[in-house]
This record gives sequence, C-alpha cells and structure tokens, in this order.
Amino acid sequence: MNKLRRSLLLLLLVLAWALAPLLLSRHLIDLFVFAGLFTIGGLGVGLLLGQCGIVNLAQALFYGIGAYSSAYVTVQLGLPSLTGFLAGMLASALIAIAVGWPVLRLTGFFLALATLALSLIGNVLFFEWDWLTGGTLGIGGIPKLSIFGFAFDTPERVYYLVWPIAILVLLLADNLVRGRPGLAMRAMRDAAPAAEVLGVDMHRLKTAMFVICAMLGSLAGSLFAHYVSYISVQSFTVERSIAFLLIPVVAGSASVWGIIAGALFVTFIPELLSGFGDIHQVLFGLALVLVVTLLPDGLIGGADRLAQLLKRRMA
Amino acid sequence: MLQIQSLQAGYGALPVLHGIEMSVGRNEAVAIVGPNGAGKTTLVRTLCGLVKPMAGRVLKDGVALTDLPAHRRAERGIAVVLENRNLFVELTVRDNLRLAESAGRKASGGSLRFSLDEVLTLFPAVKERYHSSVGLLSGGQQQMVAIARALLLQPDLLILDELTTGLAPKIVKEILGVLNNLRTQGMAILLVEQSITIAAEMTDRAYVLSVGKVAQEIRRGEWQAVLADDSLIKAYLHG
Repeated sequence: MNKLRRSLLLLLLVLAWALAPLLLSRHLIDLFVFAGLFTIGGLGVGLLLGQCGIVNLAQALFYGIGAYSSAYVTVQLGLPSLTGFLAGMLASALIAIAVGWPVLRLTGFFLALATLALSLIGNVLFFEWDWLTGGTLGIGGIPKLSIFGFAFDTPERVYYLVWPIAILVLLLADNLVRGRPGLAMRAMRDAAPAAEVLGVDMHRLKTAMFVICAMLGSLAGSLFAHYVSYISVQSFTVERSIAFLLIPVVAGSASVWGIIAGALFVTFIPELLSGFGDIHQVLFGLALVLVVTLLPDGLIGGADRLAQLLKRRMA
Repeated sequence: MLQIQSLQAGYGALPVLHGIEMSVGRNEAVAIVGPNGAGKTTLVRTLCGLVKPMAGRVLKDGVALTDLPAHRRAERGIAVVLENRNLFVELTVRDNLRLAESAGRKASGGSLRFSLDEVLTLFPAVKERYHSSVGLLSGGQQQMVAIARALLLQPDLLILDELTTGLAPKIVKEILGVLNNLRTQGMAILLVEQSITIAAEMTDRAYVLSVGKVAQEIRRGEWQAVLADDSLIKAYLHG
C-alpha cells in the first residue's frame, strides 16, 4: 500500500512537472529553470557539506568558469556549445585538483575561509581578465544551447532540459552516497581518525568530492550562460557562493534529494519577498534564521517530523 | 613483528614521547601500562600514523612504516581500536563493519582471516544489534563493534587503546575472553591499559611508560612478582 501510494505521489509529481510550463507564466518558468540550475550547482556543495562536513564557499568560482568557458568557446571561437560544457568541466576539474589538493589539508573554519578566499580571487580574476571574460562589460550574444541540431531556445525547452539533468545528477549522487564512497565520507565526517585507520584516504576522497562539486558548478554555469545569453562578473560573486551554500543548509545538509527543496527555497522566497521593496533582503535573512532555528534538520528533516507526527495522530 | 626504535613524537614542537624502544613479537601479547599523561595514547596514535614522529622508526616485519600515512597502515596488517572507540555513531553497526570489510580486502595481514559471519559469531551482542545505529548501543556493545571492525581489517597485529575504561566487569570479562581466544589463534596484541591486573591477565610481558619514556620492562614470567610487590605500582602506576 505504501509503495502504491509512493508511486502515485511520484506519478503526480512528474505530471505536475510536465504540465507546469503549459500553465505557468514566463516569469515562473524562468524561476523554475534557475531552481534547476541551483539544484545542480547546490548538489556539489551539499555533497561536500552533508557527507564530508566541508563548508565550500567557492562554488561561484566554478559556476563562473563553466559560464565563461561556454561563452568564450561559442562566442569567441565559434565552436559547438557542447565543447564549452566540456571545456568548462575540464578546466574546473583541473583547477579543483590544483587548488583542492593543498587547500583540503585544512579543516574546519580554516578550510571554509580558504574556499571563501578562492571565491574572492575568482571574482577578481573574472573582473581583471577582460580579454577572456569581458570584464565589467561581460560577454553577450551567447547562443542558445543546441544539442545535435536541436535548439533549446525557449524557456520551456530549457525547463525540459535542465530538470532531467538535475534529476540525473541527483540519482548519480544518491548512488554515490549509498555506496562505499558515501560510507567513507560519512565516516570521515563523524570520526576522522577512525576513518583513517580504517584505510580511508581522506585527502584523496575530499579532493575527489571537491572535483565533483566543481564540475557540477561548472555544468550549472554553462547551462546558465546559454540560458541568459549575457554574463558578467556580477553573477559570480561571493553572494552567489553563499546562495549555493544555503541550498543544502536550508534543505538539511545530509539529504541528497532535499537539495531540490533548498534550491526552490533560495529561488522562490526572495522573489516572493521582493514585493516588500527595499526590506525584502532583510525579510529573506529573517526567513533563513527561522528555518535554521526552527528546523535544525532543514526543510526535509522538518517535513519528516511532520509526517511522523501526522502518522502518529492518525494511528 | 613490530619494532619501535628511538621513537620521539608529540604535538607541534612539543615532544611527548622520548626515545621509545619496544618490540612485539609474532603471536605475542604485550601491554603498555602507565599513569594518565604517560604518553600511551600518543604512542598508539604514532604507531597507527595519526601522529607524525619527530625522530626514530617504526618497523613492521622489517619494513619501515614511519613515513606511511595512517590509511596505508591497515593494509600492512595493523588494526587499531582507538581510545573512546571512535565509532561512526550515525552509521549502523552493519555500515561500520561494511566499511572495514572492504578495507580488509586490501590487507596483506597474517594467516588469520575473519569473515563477517565469524566476527558476528564472536560477538553475539553485535549480531543482535546489526541494523541499529551505533550511537544507540551501550558502551560495551560499542567496544565490541570497535573490535569487530578492527578484526575485519584482517590484521596480524591488533592494537587496543584503553579497552576496558568505563565498562562493566561482566562486559570486560566477555571482551577479554574473545581476546584470549584470538591470542591462542596467533594474533599479536598490543594492549594499552591502565589496569595492571588486566594487563597481567592478558599479556606475556609489558612496558611501563612514564613521562614519555619506557621506565621499566616487565619480562615474560615476571608478572607474578610484579603483582606481589607493589613498589612498581606505587612508583609508576599510582596504586
């Protein structure tokens, strides 16, 4: 019965997802596309935070590398858009290895500060290297994404592309977390010395996860660049890194699928609050404080507790 | 099997261990006894690679381990039960053991090999709580999980740090029974203990550690005399 109920719920969700672009306004479809992008980018940060206990504030750097790679490869070099995706992910992976290998020897606050510094350095480089990034002017005229001749040139089409990609990476992450690497990550988070003496190469594992996180950030950045057609440094600031970090924090850091809830929260709540004018950022901050204090296990933990409470009441 | 030569180790620039010389032979059980602050735990952490030595060498079967990181030492047949068990409390017993089981496949340990079933047979209490979170287990059950996990690394040398601290006498007896059984099967054991009675019961000989140095060695056959004469206990072990 439970299985049937779950299958029905899943079917309803898929139906709602499939029909949403037909019923929603252009603006709401835009927001859902961004939520999908944030799910992909936030997943990397969530894996590091929830599974390894690492606070990563550098995701805007890799988001930017993905976006600028796609923009440069398609606009300056005139190559197909998939080349930009590959270039971005490759560059992000290499930079993540080069930077992560020394930096990930740090722990706790020092590591968080080091990733924050990476984000700041990245932003300065995006600003200074105008031959590559266009500096403050940014890069415009980025073509819409085209895969094997099929152009994702409307918000609806991008919506139908971004979310299956998000679900795919979530499925892969879920698989990773349930396997031996996931166990090793949680072991490392819970009792690092014991994990080490059990044969877990913590430094290698952390670096591997940092690389995966960077590649996810880059993938989201490339999709973002093709979707908005114009990018500039303002999209890759430390605030963006903080927003990526908020996604797993709000969702409940250990939850892989909860990343969707976190991404929807950081996309839709500021939008809902924007009607309040200048005070909307204060209200968003307040909403965050409320979530973090009232729901220490995040939205997913809160939903679980509510479901259990209802179950007990109904029993 | 294990040789420790002129080992100096500590934290930062501060040495805690000063020129330690020790050895553990194949199939031998050796104790390290000493008061709090003697450097016992630092020694264990240095042997398993968590603390980098400042000088000296650690050799296992004639091969230097000194520069080998902690995660590579399990492959060399060394399993450690750290002080306070250091379990992954949010994981289930099953997951704790599963992690060790997969690491144990790479180990080039000794002739003793332990399957998951065999380990669970050694500790029926662990088997009963196989699907429970480790954090929900009693102290004794957690210690059993820690030993079971260490055995799945397929070691030929088992290092146990403060094994019996905080455990009920009944549980201590049960655990010591298992360890005695392992000993008779040929497992080398290095037992770090505050209780000299347990050390005498469990091991062939011992090193008394005091202020980071080996103050005395209790040789094979000397345990009775040491227990009968309390001068050593008064001098180094504070009664």
